[in-house]
Amino acid sequence: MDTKARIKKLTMVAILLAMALVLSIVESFIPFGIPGVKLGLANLIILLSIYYFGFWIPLAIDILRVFIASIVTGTFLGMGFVMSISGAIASFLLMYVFVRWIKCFTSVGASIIGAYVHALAQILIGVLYMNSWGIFYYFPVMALVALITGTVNGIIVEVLLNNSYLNKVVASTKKQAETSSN
Amino acid sequence: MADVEKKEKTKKFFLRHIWDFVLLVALSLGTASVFIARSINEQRKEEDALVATVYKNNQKMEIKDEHGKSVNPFVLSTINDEKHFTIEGSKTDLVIAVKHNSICVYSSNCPGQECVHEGWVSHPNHPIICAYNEIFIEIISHSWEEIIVG
Repeated sequence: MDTKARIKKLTMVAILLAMALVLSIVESFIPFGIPGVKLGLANLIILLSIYYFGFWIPLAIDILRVFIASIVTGTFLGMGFVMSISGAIASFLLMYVFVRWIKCFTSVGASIIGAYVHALAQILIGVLYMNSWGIFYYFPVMALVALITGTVNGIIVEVLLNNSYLNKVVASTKKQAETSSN
Repeated sequence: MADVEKKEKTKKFFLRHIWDFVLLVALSLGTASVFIARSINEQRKEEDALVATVYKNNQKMEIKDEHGKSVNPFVLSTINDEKHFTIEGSKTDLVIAVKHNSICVYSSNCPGQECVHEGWVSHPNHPIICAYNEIFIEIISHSWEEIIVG
């Protein structure tokens, strides 16, 4: 890959990471009354990157966003951080499987699965962390929020995927990268 | 003509999203059943006592009253007047308040304040969590015999 193509790809990834980060930090200021529960708006960027870049880039964006957001919000390496990172990875893997392998759902279905699994993984890590099923009390509220935001995120991703300008930009970046690597 | 086109478009939309709808309905039903199970689980028998235990980092905390007597777990049903206890979390201090059949995190220096926003809790199986300070308050309904024997 030549320098120009590499810079173009790097810039796109940096923009996606910045967008995911801003959404993560903004949603951390929206109180839900439940530790670790957020709207999950950043999932939108992760899902979009899965469609555009496959596995490694979205995974890197997802992990980096959780690390940086937790450092900014002062929860790094705490219980909230462990719940966030596990939820993020679990939701990423499930979304990837349903977008790339089991293609029975559209972006809406994949987003709902991602949001729901995110909530479930967070709760299960909380159960392990506290050695008590007590935290499961919060699951219904988290699941309800996940269903709503998952659906909204999925619809937004579908609209973005049908945006011809965005598709053109991503396709040209990919093509340039592929040509220069050959 | 436009009507036919519109109908065709709607049909295509539904066919494309059919499995999304199935998924949404299935997960909604699952969530609703967990909601119902939680509501049943939250009910307490009138004759039972409410007991709250405060844990820090998975360990039961040692909390003493003004006479040096260990009070954790709190038998909330035997408390008449409101009392406050300052406890040391993983990162900051918290003030826990207890009164008859209720417990709350009165104040905390954690950034999210989720534990404080939870307010007074008086139902069994409704936990209070301060993730920042790794504090977990478990509230359980016990029969009086269990408390006296235990």
